[in-house]
Amino acid sequence: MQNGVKSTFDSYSKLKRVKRRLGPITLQKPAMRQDRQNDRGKNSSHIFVVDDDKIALKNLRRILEKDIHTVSTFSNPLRALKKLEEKHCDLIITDLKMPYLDGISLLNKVKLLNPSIEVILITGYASLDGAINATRQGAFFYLSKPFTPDKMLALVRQALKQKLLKEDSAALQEKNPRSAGTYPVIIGKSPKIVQVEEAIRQIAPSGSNVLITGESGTGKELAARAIHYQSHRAEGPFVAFNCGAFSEELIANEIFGHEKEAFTGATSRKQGLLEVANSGTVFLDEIGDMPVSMQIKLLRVIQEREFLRVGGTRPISLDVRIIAATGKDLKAAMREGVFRQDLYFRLNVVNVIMPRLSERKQDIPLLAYYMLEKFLRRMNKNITAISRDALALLENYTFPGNVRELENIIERAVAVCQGNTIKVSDLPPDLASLELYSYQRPDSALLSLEELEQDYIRHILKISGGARTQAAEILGIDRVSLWRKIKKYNLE
Amino acid sequence: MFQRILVVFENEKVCNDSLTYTRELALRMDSDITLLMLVEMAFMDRSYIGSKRSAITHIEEQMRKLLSKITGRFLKEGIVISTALRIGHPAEEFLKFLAEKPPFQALIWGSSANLPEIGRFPQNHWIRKVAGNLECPLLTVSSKEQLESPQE
Repeated sequence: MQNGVKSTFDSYSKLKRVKRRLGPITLQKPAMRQDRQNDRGKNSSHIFVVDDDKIALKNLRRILEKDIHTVSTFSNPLRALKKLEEKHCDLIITDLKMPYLDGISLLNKVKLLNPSIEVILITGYASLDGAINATRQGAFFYLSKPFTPDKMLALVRQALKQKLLKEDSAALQEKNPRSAGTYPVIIGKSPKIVQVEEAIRQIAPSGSNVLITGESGTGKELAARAIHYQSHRAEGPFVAFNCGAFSEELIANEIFGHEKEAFTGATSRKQGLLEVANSGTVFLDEIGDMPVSMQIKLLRVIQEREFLRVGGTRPISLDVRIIAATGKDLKAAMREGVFRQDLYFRLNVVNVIMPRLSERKQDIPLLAYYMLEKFLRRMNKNITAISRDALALLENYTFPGNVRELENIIERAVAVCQGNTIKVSDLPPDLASLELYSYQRPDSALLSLEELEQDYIRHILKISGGARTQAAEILGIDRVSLWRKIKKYNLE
Repeated sequence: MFQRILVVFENEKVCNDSLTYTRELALRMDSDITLLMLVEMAFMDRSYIGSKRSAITHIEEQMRKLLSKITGRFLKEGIVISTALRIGHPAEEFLKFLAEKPPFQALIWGSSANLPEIGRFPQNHWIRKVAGNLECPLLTVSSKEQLESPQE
């Protein structure tokens, strides 16, 4: 029986000698693996070898160090477990029969501590039952003695590769909200936003093209992402493109890609966004700003479900869902001839209208607290609340920049806040000292004539400081009519 | 993207509160600002400027000074700002300017706290006629103290 740690990192110089003997080695590793290993600050995997036989430990160390691994050997499995809590380990090679703790029990405890560590069991008394049992418990392999160094090294490489694959897959799952079980969240309880959520839930599985309309900052891209992640294309890519930010040539190049030598400087073939988004969703933001010539090409893509790269002759077939968004009135653009009617009808299969933040003021506290929590995590601050005055100020503000503006206001407030409550003084000064009035487009406000009249009289009374004579003069009606309207609309 | 704010002025009149709000909004939204000065002038014959040439030169010189004074306040904050001057019928020039330029995400009236009025008929002012039909809401800015004090 052997007790205590036999050796750990005492062989660093020996390892260097081995490396020198083997000469320069270049390992081709995927980027994620390389990054992770650089993070750990070393270039090899760390392997724990546990065996009560000192000679076996020595032999395994020699075999593994040849493959440039860092090896720690333990003759006592309990010591190995204790060390595991302090040090990083990629793989454990353990004997099955040992004093204090057998190989299977060690395997179970290791999997409890860190399920990503692979375990290879070795035994001099191999049996089918034992092998089945070990594999059921999560062992990577059940190896019988005697074994050749090459067999052991091949197994170790396989085990380490599997571990990396598992870690990469976990990292990808974190990046992909669908596989992690989370969707883009639309925050709000107001009837208008509940309607939007309901519409998204209904249209997402249909696969139809969608047109999202709404002012800048209302969350059009968020809605598009929500549609994508709730559709059967969720596993496919979501590619967003802003049509307003590029010239016509650049839009064509970005959307369709180009063939090699298609134009000066096209030194290689480039895939367009449509190609990249194949089997997924393309989100075309600011579609109203797309040049008319590009609209014709896009219409053709939607109709034919195929396209040509710039300079290409071979049509490429396509399976994408197109979600377009605009802050403009496309019907007016059609009347003016700057937006094609046929494209409008192709895109506007389903229309989702994102409400302005001023139309869902009751969501402001909810959104403010959601954003507060988001920025607290990022800025590492200890803010617990938003004062009632600050919240009231936010609720009474017009928010021309919509949710994006609220987000920026909260970010700024978190950055400047000194205590544990956001106060009025932490908000931008113009919010507290300036009054904003917004003259909205009548078509988007969807107010009745009575509502509009009521709103306007209230505004005039406000700016005239409640002076009815002056208000009546501004409104172009006599005092009695104004008095009657005040009474009718209960504007006292 | 919330990128462009247009501040509209009329006939040299500049409201300080509007400029303060525009600066704050631009900083908050990381936006560019365009200042548009509209000067009213009637041209009977559009193809021939004639006697108005010297008046226009004078206006241009005066507006250049005024606009460069205003832009200084924004440039100090690192805000990207551009200016434009249009002379003619204000409503027409304003709508033409909006049609020519890429869309703005906010329009701010920069000449007074509230939209201007003409005598007993406030709706007769050109900005009131177009205010409800623009590509995005037109905002007016005034100080709260000014509003809270009764005017009668």
